[in-house]
Amino acid sequence: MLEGLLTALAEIAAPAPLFVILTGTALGLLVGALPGLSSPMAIIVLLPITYKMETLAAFQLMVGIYVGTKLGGSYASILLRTPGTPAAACTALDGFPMAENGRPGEAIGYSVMASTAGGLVGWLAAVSFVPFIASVALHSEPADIALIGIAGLVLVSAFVRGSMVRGLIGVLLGLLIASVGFDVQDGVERYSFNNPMLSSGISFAAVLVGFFGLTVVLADLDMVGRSSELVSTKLDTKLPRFIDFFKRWKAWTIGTAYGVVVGAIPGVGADGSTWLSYATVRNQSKDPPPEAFGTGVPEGILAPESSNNATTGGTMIPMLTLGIPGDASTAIMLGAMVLHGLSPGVTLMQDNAPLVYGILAAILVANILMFLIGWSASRAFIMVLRRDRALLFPFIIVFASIGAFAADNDVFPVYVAIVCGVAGYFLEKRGFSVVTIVLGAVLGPIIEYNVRLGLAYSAGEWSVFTDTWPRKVLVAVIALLIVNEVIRAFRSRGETRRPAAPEAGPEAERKKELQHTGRK
Amino acid sequence: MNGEVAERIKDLALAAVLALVGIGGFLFINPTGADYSAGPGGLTWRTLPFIYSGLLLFLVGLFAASTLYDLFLIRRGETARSLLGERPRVTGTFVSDSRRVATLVCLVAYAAALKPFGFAIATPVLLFAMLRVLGRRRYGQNLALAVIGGLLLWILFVGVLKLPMRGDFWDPLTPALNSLYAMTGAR
Repeated sequence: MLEGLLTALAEIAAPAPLFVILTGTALGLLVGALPGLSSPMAIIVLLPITYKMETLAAFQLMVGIYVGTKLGGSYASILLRTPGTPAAACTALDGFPMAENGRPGEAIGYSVMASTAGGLVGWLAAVSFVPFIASVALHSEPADIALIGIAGLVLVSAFVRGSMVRGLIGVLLGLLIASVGFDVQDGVERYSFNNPMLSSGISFAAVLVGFFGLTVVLADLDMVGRSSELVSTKLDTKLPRFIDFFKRWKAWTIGTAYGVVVGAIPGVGADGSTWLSYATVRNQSKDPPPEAFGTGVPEGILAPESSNNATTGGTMIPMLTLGIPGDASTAIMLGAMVLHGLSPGVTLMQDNAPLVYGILAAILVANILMFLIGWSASRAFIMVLRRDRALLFPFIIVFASIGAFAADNDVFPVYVAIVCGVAGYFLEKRGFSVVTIVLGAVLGPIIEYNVRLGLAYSAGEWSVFTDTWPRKVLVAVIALLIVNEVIRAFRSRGETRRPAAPEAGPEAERKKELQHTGRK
Repeated sequence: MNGEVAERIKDLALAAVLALVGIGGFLFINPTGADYSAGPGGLTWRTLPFIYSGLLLFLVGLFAASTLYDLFLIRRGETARSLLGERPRVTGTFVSDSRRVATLVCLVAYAAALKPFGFAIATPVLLFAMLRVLGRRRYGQNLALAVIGGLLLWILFVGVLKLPMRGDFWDPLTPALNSLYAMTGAR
């Protein structure tokens, strides 16, 4: 394992890979800084470029973007009180007051340090767990793989915003999208309407571009034309002294731990972990007291920002070992793996170990580059906050359209992307998450293939899905999540009889407002 | 009709569309009239899509029932708290909605123009139209942005990435740009 990682690190130290990761990280910072645009959108925009790149270089670029957006999101939170990414919403609680108090450079400095620390510890976790889990997962049989896929989809449905029913509806739509075209086992056309463009299935690039690119553009048109006034023009990053950073170790270690663990749970991603870590750090804090949070204390930046970046390592663990993404960005990376002819899942490590180690090495390098850019060149990225989105969206639309076109060199996938974009926009507006649809579409073929193969091996005995302990545990997890949702629904029904509880003060309002602003 | 009721009615409309998708999952699975005898594990090529469609219909039924229950509570003057978790806040203005429609029209027109007219002509036109749709009123600046932006994108996609984006019907620009690009020695 160490040998593979060292080889990947040695290969990445060449000028070309470093340039690719630097470009990705810088782009990530840029995109992350713009409210409304986050890493899934940035990765989608660059999709047509990655088609022509070597597989590893394409993933190094995506990893750079993924890591960079995590820090970039905090710039807008701190200077505008409008989170650049959903995960950075929590940072605004203390980052913005600190900037208002005349310390914007210090706030950004704490954000840079915490992001780097979180990112590096997240990387360590990924490096430690990926080879181990991959070696265990390698002994899986078709029934295990099918159950892991189903459990992943149920987990995602349970943890996305809204409710599990909405999540499962999204997953089933994705599974139906994946069913279009030739069935892999019998070679029968399904849902093709005798259209040759649908015979080979719906273009995966079109699904990604539609749900993650065009949906976001359509949703974010509300933000066009809004002027952005920064809280301060003194924008030079002022890194905290090491002693100031280390004496607040509790804040960033709790944040990092939450980031790694929550990041590894499919579907939760960084959004959940930042709020959890912030609440934990605030409730346990003695100096500063919990009441001081929200007024501009460094701990209020360290906890969410370390957590935010630690998720980059956490989300890689299920993605690289089981083929289950932790968030929207890793879902796109899984899709990109399919587009590059790879089979994401338990065999990825066995079949493409250099790629897996290359991705892990890229996370480390991207975090180091992110620190260097954040330290020395934040000012340039912050200036984009003043730019009007009207200039950007037309170009995003071209990139997204060409991303769909270039997959098959045909316009049909562009139309499919438009349909997916419109459908995604309406579904998002009604509280459904498009991540669930994409995950259903990614995991659908894997689940179907392995369910049928598992049943074929067992001569049609469905007990094959419960005949070992790991399978029993997986089935129990699925059942538990569903039962929990039913109980929650019944409790909620009881609450409807009582008068609605008043919202808990201005802080709850502020949190709701920030979560809503950062949702996109 | 108050906002709460209007939101629930929109939810019901969405449930109806999703139910149609679920029904379509049963009706349109076999366009070629293929045989569906069971394979070695007892499943056929249509078993799982049928399960997906059935589950979708069941869950959409739950979603619709929960929404109807909310409507019932609202009518009785009680607080409607969806059984299906917290509802999202819905935003949007008339301006952004009309921009959305215009953006979609531009997108469809762009997709339709890509093949006959090629990337070199369709892209600057889309960029110019979109800049206008998004409220930028300086026509000269928009035109310059559209032409320069279109050219840079052409260099990236056609020149560097070699994507086949020449028009089929009428595209005098691509051959001209190809010649110019070749003269720079980049190809």
